[in-house]
Amino acid sequence: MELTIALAKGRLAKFAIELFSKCGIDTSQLREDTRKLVVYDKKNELRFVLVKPSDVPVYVYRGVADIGIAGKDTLLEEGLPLYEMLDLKCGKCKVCVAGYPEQKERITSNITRVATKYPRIAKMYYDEKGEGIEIIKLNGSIELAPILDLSDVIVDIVESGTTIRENGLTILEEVCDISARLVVNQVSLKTKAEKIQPLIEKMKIALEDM
Amino acid sequence: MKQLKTQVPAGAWDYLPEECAAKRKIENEIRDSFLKNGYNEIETPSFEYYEVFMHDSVPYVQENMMKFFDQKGRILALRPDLTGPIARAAATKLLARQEVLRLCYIQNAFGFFNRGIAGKTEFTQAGVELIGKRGADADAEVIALAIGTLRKIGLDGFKIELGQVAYFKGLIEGSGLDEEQTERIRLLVDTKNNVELEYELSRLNMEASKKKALLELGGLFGGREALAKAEALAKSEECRKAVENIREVFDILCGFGYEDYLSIDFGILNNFNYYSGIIFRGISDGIGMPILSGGRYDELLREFGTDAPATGFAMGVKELLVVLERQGKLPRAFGKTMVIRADRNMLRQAFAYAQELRGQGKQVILELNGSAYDPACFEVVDFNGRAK
Repeated sequence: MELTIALAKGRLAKFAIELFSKCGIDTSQLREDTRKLVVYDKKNELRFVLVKPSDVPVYVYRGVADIGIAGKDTLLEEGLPLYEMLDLKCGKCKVCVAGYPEQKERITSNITRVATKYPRIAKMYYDEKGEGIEIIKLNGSIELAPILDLSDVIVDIVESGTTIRENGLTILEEVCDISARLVVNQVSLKTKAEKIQPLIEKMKIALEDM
Repeated sequence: MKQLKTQVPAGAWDYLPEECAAKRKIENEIRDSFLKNGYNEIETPSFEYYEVFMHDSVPYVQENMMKFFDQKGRILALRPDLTGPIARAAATKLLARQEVLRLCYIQNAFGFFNRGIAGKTEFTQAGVELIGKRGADADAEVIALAIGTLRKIGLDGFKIELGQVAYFKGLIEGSGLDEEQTERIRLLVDTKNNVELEYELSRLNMEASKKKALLELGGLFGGREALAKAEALAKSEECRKAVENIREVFDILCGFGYEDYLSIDFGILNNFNYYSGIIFRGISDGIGMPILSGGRYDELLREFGTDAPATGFAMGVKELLVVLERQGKLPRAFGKTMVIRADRNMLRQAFAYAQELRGQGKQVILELNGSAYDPACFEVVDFNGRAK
């Protein structure tokens, strides 16, 4: 029985490779500098697929990958039903609301304009507060939006807060904590239990000394 | 200009002849299975007053439903499932005549659901409702029917996972959680997210034994051994009853010889407000999402004026088609169609011959123009005046 594992390309993948090595998985093909999107550990019947970070939940939800490693931010943004079974404690950061502490008074605008890469997370957060907002979806350099008066605030992930500060913005509210998570397809956990369960146990142990 | 006229709306689906034939074949087998088990078919309108789907015991959210207005400005909704409308019909029209109802349906439901395989704006559900009967035997009856039906259509490698929402309800009862806290904990258990569950629980003032039980809930799955674990974990009367209920259902189904198709997961807590007792879903090799879901919903009929217990399930017909195809078991319903090519001076004889063959169950086209047919799909016969 083969297990398919979806890995986010980039920083998270590096961490995942270390973690999998510690679990006795052959990661030599994963370490190769190649453009292959599918690599194997044939001995352990594992297949790795390398995908864009925000796509990991989709692959796992649709069952073409059995397990995946993804940031909590993308899990929240996709909002798909998955089993979220381990906190890998890597890539720790927060989703925050940032902007200028003093809002300019404006007669022609009475709802907050929010620029973000994460429209769903932003909407959920403000929905919970019962506050209507205007979402401005951007794909990068979010900090620019309040500076150019494109938006009043931003909702974005914040690690050290340096980018926020260097652009003259302040963190106004914390939305939630983010870190990398191990997600499992809800059907695979049961139909491939004899493969997935021991792997999770090994990962738990490996995580303790990382 | 956008070319919309060449597309179907997002989530809608064309069943082209080959798939349609396979779908109809499977639906006929499912219907036959339901009918033979004493479940009579019911048909309700495609749309209902919005209120049918919007009360305390439904799992729907407003924005997922397709709505429009009647002439008086009242809100109508396309049914997001069949259970609501059938509960309405049973409570208002059928239960006065008969105490126990066995009803089945194969109908389309609608909604803006961002999940499922082939889009989910309109989708066919096949299901049953057993209304007016309490107890493990009623739950076992519908689950046995689900297993029997899936076997009948040729599905392999599937399991029915049993859970019990009363176990979770028993665990959190009396711990003073408000609705919001309960919902957060339910979601974390349902997604087996122990990391955040631990954090959430650490902020709550709750007995340590209950916290431990909640943390173990997500891992409480497997075979019969999960029952004993669940029993050891929680001592409250409600939890004990919940375990006893699953055990009884499990035992009856084993008695039917269905042990291999069963597994248990106390952490299944979806549609928590809808279900009041046992809850189950069907999973299968070859598809990453459930193919069937169901459970006991004793509170729903009260909403429509007659208090009656009920249990049932719905299968996703599209999911079944996809998983059967992946398992190489999709019925190929198409044989060759017969073409009788006849001359116009023999209309009477040729027509009679075609009718005779149709009467024998053959698929026959009578061709009077001599058009060409692809021999790969058609069996062409030149009619020469004598019926063979």
